[in-house]
Amino acid sequence: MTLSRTHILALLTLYAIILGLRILVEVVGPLGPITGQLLTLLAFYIALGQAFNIFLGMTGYVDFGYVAFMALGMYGMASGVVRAYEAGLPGYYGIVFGLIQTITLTSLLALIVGGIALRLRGAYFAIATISVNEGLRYLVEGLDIWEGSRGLIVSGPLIRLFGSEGFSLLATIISDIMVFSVALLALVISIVFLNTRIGYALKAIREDEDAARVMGVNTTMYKVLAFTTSGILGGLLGAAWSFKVASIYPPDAFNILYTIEAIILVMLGGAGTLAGPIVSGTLYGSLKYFLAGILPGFQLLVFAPILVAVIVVAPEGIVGALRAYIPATRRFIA
Amino acid sequence: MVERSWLILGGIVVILLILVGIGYYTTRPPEVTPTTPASTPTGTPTQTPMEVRTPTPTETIAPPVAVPDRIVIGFTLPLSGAFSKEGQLALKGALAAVKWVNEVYGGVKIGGKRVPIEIKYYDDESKRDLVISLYERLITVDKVHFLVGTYTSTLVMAAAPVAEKYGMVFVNWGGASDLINKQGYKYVVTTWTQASRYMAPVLDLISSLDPTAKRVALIWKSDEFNRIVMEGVRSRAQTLGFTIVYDKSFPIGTLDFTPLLVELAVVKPDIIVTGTHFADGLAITKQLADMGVNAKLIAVNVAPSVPDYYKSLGALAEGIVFPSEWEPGVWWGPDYAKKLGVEFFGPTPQEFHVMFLAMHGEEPTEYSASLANAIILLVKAIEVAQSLDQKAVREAFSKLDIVTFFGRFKIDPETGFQIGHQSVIGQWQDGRKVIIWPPDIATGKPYYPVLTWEEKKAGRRAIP
Repeated sequence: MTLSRTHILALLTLYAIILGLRILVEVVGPLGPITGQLLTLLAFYIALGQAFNIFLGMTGYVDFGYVAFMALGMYGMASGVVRAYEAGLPGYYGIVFGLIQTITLTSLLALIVGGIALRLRGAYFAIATISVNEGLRYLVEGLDIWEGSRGLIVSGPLIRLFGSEGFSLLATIISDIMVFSVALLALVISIVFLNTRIGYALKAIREDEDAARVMGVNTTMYKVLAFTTSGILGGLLGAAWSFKVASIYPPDAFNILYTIEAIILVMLGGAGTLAGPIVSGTLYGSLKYFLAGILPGFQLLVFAPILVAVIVVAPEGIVGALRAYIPATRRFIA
Repeated sequence: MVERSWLILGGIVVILLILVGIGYYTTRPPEVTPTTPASTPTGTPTQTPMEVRTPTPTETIAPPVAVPDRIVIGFTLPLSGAFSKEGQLALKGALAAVKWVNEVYGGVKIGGKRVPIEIKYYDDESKRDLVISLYERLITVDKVHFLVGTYTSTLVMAAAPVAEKYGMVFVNWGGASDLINKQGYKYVVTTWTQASRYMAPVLDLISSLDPTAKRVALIWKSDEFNRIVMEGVRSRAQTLGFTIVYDKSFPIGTLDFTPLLVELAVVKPDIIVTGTHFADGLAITKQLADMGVNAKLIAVNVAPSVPDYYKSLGALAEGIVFPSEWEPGVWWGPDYAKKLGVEFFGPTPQEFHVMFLAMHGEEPTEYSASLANAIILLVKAIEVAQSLDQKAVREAFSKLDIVTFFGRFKIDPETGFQIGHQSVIGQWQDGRKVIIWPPDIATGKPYYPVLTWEEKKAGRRAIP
């Protein structure tokens, strides 16, 4: 698959439509069933899929501890804001400090875990990453880091730093735009990866790691690169999301459900494709939103069979199937 | 191979449809059919049938405010998941409050009209992310007029910022953490006694009973609510001259307390105070009994006020002391209001009790009563404000100083912190909950010192 200008334009158009709708809804109010809340969910799932796709989609490794990056991002941002508030600094210092903390913490975690666990393959890697997630959760609770199991409450500091209106904006449109920027950043990085040696190396690893190694590809380095990139993006997504939840508790922050959702998003859309996450994010997000009203809590039960069906019928995901069965779409969808 | 994959796909679709069907039927909210009580409850004063007042059309004058044909109050409740017990009990209270407002009271008096209320609720499954999206949905899609909270502090912490974001009045009846009202929210009004004042009266009770019992052991879940409850207990202990001989926490989700209880048994405290919710409170009592850890008084947070606690433990629950926001038998009625020199509003405690029993065939609990109280207070605030404007109603709440069947309501105008209401201390005696503190509303005498586990296993009852 070679990327053409049409492919990139088509993708950017899709992103522009969703972002445009989000801003339009903010200005004029909900357009029928399209509410700000729905678009927020879509942006979140597109970003989650796009960020995770860089690792899972491109290398084929399943990271069951992906939510740990999001959790560190949430904690990084929230503790940055709380610290700025306690030190009497202006609010944007807190956000900048939070971003720095997020990037540092997530890249550290990715380098440590990736450096060690990425030498494992298949199920062993998956098991190692689950334990990292659970281990981190108990570390936060047990050592009472970031207020431990009492939860880190950021709404008070946010209201005092930015005022009620400022908090309101941060929790709605600003965090949505931040989530969207993460999705866009992940997309751009994916395009860059696919157009350079990195993409070839990752694809070689995914198809046959031993062969890639024999051909002289430094497999561990490329895997760690993809893992770290994907991890930092996950952290940034968590950081943006922390304005919405406004109080962070370890069992929710390290909830494995987000990892499962990320895997579903990548597999459903088509692992390693560029348009996959936006297709699956839109589908999953809207189904989750509408099902919450009709069948609360059942979206995962509904998605499990769909995922099995997709893997059986179209192992390449929705995007892969479109490209395979409708050749005309190949010009636009990558 | 193509045919085979279609076959698999078809099979999956069929399974999916079955799952959806099952899901639909199991997640439908329980239909509540009013049941008549089998007999008059013991301890309830005889009651004349309630008069049903219907709105009279002559009352309508030209309305100065735009009045809808019904006022919708939205909320979520944990009807499944970790807090499902409390959530389901609360829902029954909400239904009783709606019935009282619409059928007995005759609707909200606003703009010269009588407007009925309606509730719109979702199951938040005890999940924080769901709480956030469902409250947004209530505000933006369902366009409810006012919000009341959900149960337990962590979930309220997720819901309150959403209400604040949209500038919606949020009546918090189920989150007792002090932190909720310390966030600087402008629209959060708390109706019940907050955590720091919740369990501390246990120590006042002991001081009055036995000046020699001074050694207190605290064992608590390290969540926000219990942490603050314990801070309150500790500071009261200091004031009253108690010694804390043991003070340890356990992480959320712990259900095996053996290692902690082994340590605790060695210390031999006079009083054991546990900071728990329902599931862990039940487990810790069971394990105290299994290990035979005795004390002169054992106070357990949250769990014992739920009737299922006694159903699960039987005689082992005898003599266990617990704090509660409200219990049936706490007759905070018009007399109490008169004593305080403030207005009384809503059903009397007896009326509420009779009506609740008639609707649900069981006694109300603090959760049912608290949510019902929140709805009744909201009605009062709307009437005072004579407006559906959020700011006006929030201001009305600040001005209110009244008594309802639930007790007094008065908030700190700035933070919404509850300062009027007080918690009570109850004790299981011979299979019944008896209010033993504060003395002016106590329904019985405390049983002290409590029976040992061996005595209870032998079938002795805590009858003073």
